[in-house]
Amino acid sequence: MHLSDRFTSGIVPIMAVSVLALYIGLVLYMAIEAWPALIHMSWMDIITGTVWKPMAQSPVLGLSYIISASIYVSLLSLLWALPLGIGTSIGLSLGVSPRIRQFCLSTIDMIAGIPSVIVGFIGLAVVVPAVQSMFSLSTGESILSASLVLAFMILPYIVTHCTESIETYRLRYEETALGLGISPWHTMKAIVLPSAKGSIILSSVLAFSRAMGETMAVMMVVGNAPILPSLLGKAEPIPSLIALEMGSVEYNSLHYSGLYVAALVLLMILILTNVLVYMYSWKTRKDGHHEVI
Amino acid sequence: MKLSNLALATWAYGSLVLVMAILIAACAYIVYHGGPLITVDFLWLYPAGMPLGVEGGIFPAIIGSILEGLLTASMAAIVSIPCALYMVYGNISRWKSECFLFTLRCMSGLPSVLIGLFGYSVLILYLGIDKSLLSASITLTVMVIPFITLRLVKVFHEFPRETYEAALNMGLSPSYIWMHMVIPSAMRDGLSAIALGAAYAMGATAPIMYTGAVLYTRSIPNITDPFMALPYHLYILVNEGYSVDLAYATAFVLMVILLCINIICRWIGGRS
Repeated sequence: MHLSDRFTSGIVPIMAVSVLALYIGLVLYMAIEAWPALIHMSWMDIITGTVWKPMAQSPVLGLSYIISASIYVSLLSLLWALPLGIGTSIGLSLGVSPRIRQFCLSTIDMIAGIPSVIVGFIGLAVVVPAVQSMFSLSTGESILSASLVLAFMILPYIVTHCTESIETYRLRYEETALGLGISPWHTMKAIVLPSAKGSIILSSVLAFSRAMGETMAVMMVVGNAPILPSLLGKAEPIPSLIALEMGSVEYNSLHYSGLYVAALVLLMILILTNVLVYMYSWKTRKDGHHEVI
Repeated sequence: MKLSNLALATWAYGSLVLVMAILIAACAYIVYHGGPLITVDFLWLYPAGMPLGVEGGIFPAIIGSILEGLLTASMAAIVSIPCALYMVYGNISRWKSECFLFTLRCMSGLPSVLIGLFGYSVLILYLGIDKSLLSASITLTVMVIPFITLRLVKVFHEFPRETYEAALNMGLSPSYIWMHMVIPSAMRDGLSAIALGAAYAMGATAPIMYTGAVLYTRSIPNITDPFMALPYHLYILVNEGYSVDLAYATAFVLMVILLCINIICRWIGGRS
């Protein structure tokens, strides 16, 4: 065996295992750094506490307003994006020629590459003033604006995933249904959509986890005040909290550890949604269906 | 057509038109407001005025972003290529490969702010490295490895298994086959996967906010210097309210760079 061969065949598994170790290490690191805060206050106190005063003499680390702001914004953005996204997928699958479908899908894919800081900027220039004048508020920076901006961010994601699964089922049933004289739209309504329901739900779960973690776009339009979130009021979701306070924390203080608790909440949601998706796709593969996600 | 089917069709066409209109309008908005403000001076000058950034250009931010993209792409490639080769040709058990795929899929959705927090506390606070182009690029590399590796796995899977096995049976070593057959044949799609990863990294703000990006640099950054980056510059211009016009122009430049990389990659990928 040549030396270069030995080098290559040695380095490949080492690199692969170290990538795995890096990400497992990242998760463990976050848990370890969050530990002091979890000793200082219990899990329940942190999740149900409403006061976030990490710099006080005896720091109080209540995350409930912050976590609920995150969930509020993400769910609201799903409410806007899901009907539009699923409708678009049906339209792309049935309503247009393959050429146009390809064109639309590549455009959507490309727009998904626009960085979130630009989307946030557009939100600040267009959505915030619109919300402000529509509801005659003193400032348009609110949960509503953030959810609209966020809906823009997750739309491409939902459309890509839903189109893929709807296409899979449409192609499977198309010929039989046409042979029986059933119109394509009726097939879509009666057979394709019910079959694709599971994977559509899963892609919305994944989109929800994306939305929870979106930082810049939300941070620029949400106002960033850690108060009880309301539709037209300011709020501060988890990523904004971390991004804004990260630079000023003292290393190894309780404040620092508190930020890691917030990070851990995001990480748990991410891992949980991925486990859910994995279990679903494992089950469908076992049942002999094609993998849809 | 039955009424319920008609409703379905209306919903489908309506949302298709609306979504495409919204997405394209957002791009057009930046082009309309930012495009006319682009001048040679804006692209070639350093930021000026008081506070810095209200006048002058964004030359160091453009260069900083490009350097950051190149550095991240090369570091990520060094890690991702062996990792993807191992996942495809490593003869690993089903269980192991599921384990790799699950980790990478999960981590490709990791919020960028968590990567920023991780990079900041490990590199800057714990290891005591100065804020620099290098520390920011390492942080971004952590972010793009799953993105690139998952795409490379797909690319390597396209190399015919029969050819690989035939080559093995002729007595060639796996690493020889990788270096002389698999990687050259995957060159085009592989490079476009890596370039897409670089574009993803160049657009990210949260990971570099505290690990290396700064408001102003006086020269082209060395690898150990802090640097200016387009997304961070845009964020500061908007957030501090320095200059809306320059923010539009900066957003335009950033968007054009990233869309160009995306279009070129898709065009290359579409041809093969």
